[in-house]
Amino acid sequence: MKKDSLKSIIVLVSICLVVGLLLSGVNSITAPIIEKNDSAAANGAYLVVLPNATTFEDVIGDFPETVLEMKKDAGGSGFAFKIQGSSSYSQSPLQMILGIDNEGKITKLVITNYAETKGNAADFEALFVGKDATMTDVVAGVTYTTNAIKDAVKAAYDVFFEYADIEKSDEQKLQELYGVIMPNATDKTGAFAFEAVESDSAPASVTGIYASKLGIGYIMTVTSGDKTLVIGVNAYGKAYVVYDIDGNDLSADASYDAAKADAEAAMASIYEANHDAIVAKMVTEGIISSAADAQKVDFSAVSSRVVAVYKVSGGLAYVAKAEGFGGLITVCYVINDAGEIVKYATLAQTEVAYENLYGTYIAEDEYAANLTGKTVADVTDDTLLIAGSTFTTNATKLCWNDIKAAHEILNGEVQ
Amino acid sequence: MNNTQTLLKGIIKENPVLVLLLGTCPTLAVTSDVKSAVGMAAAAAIVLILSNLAISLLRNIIPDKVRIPCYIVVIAGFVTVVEMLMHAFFPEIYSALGIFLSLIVVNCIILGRAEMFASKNGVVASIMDGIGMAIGFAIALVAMATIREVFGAGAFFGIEIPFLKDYTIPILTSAPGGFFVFGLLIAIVNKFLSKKRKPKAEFGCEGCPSANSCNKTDCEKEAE
Repeated sequence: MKKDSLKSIIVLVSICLVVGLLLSGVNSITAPIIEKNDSAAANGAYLVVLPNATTFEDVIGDFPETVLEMKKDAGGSGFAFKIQGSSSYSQSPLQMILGIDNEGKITKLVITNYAETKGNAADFEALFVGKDATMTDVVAGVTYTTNAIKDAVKAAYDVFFEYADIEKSDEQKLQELYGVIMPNATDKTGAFAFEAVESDSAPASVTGIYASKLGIGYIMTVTSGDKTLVIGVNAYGKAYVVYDIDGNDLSADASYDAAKADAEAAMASIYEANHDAIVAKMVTEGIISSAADAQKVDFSAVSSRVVAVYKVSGGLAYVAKAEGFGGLITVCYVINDAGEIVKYATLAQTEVAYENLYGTYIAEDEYAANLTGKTVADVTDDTLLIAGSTFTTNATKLCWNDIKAAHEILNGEVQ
Repeated sequence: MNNTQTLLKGIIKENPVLVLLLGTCPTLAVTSDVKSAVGMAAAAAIVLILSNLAISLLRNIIPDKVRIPCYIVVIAGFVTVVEMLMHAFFPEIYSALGIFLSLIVVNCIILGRAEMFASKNGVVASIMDGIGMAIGFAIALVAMATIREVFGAGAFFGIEIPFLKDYTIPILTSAPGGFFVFGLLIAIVNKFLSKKRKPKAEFGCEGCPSANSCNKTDCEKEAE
């Protein structure tokens, strides 16, 4: 009896041990594969945008509502985001998976939910590959959707810069400063449009000159001691703000005045040429009878779409620029002391053909008829709205808002 | 009884599902589509054959008193091995089978064959028995799954069938439909086998499909 019990115990324990060994052997083979499969299933969509990623870790943070999830590749190949945007055209929100590598470039954008009327999902996906935080292109015909996607991608970039814990390059820092220094220098899609320019006459300390494509100013990088400064120079040739590359405002610090002077010197001749061109155009448009009638008024304390102000007979002439559908539009308003709009004209820029400034349906005369005789207080969005020309109307509104603000500051002060 | 007969009896005459009515739970649960049914049949076959083999080998070592725990440990071991392998290499089938894969441990077919056959027969015969039973189980599962998927979902192996997909009988893919089909198949097999069956009066132990593997003298001994 005792012997039987002992045998039972030994046999059962031995079987358990053998089975246990077998299981541990199999488990050592299958466990890594299972783990890989599971993470692949959970992160399959993320792997599409970051194909070299090993495993994804959640990044927890206070995200804007358009950023649903942020994942960090433990292998260090980059970050993946689940983002969403809403377009005016559909009820179903756009959902996208976005991959951003460590250099801040977009590896891939995949649209996972696209319910728009036009089947352009693939165009969007192609549009963003290799781009960085500044995105300028638009898919033709689906402007609102493009903008919705861009907004979502921008939100992802904000999160990326905040949580990715990656040192931004000087170029990225500079691009962020564009918006701080010159918030109005946006093109029709809302992106900051700058291009690098060369200047033979620039002092050696000026290392880079970036001209607003709108022509409302310049942003320059200037070396001062061991610091790289970013200086905003407005359309009047005045250096009005100084930042260091990390975005600290040093405008009030007198020790950087020399750098400001260098920045102003770099562009001195260009402003004169710009002003001469504007005045010549005002003569052509009949706003003034001769160049001598326009006296330059200084409006250089801020960045604005208002690129020039002149005292002319009958009031102040304000010239402002914004980007419309066909390119830049330059408008000129003459406003008298009573706040009445005496004249309105569209000034063409020399490099843009006049007929491109407005769509074929819109004539300058329509704006002029709507505006002339109105007072500053009378001009509403409806006055500026001309059907069929949304972008140009928007640009006109932007110009008007800045002109109105400029008029409120200057009216009464300029004698 | 030779090995061929041992193998063949599991397919119709002693079909584990439709005649012995064992393993009903997984049969009903995983036969809503053919893919899962094939996966389940394969997993059960591996466990059945391996456990029959192992138990047959150990039949003289395992003491009578602890035989059931020993069988369960062996079966659970094989089930877990199959489960881990499927999870690693066939994750799709693994997730389709879900909990029923683990529940092969308590599948009556496997414990039943261990207790009724493998513990009393040689290694080769036990393997043959395992293969036969596995084929019988597979035939029953696939037959049920085919009927349920073709008429319930208008597809076969996940591929849509033209025409039928517009006239599906959705209840077949849910649990009640499973019972309907199960009952139907049992009835058909019963009809098919009834001619060979002995008259009811003489039913007794001899009329039982499991009579061959049942050592009835054991029961009688205990009854005494």
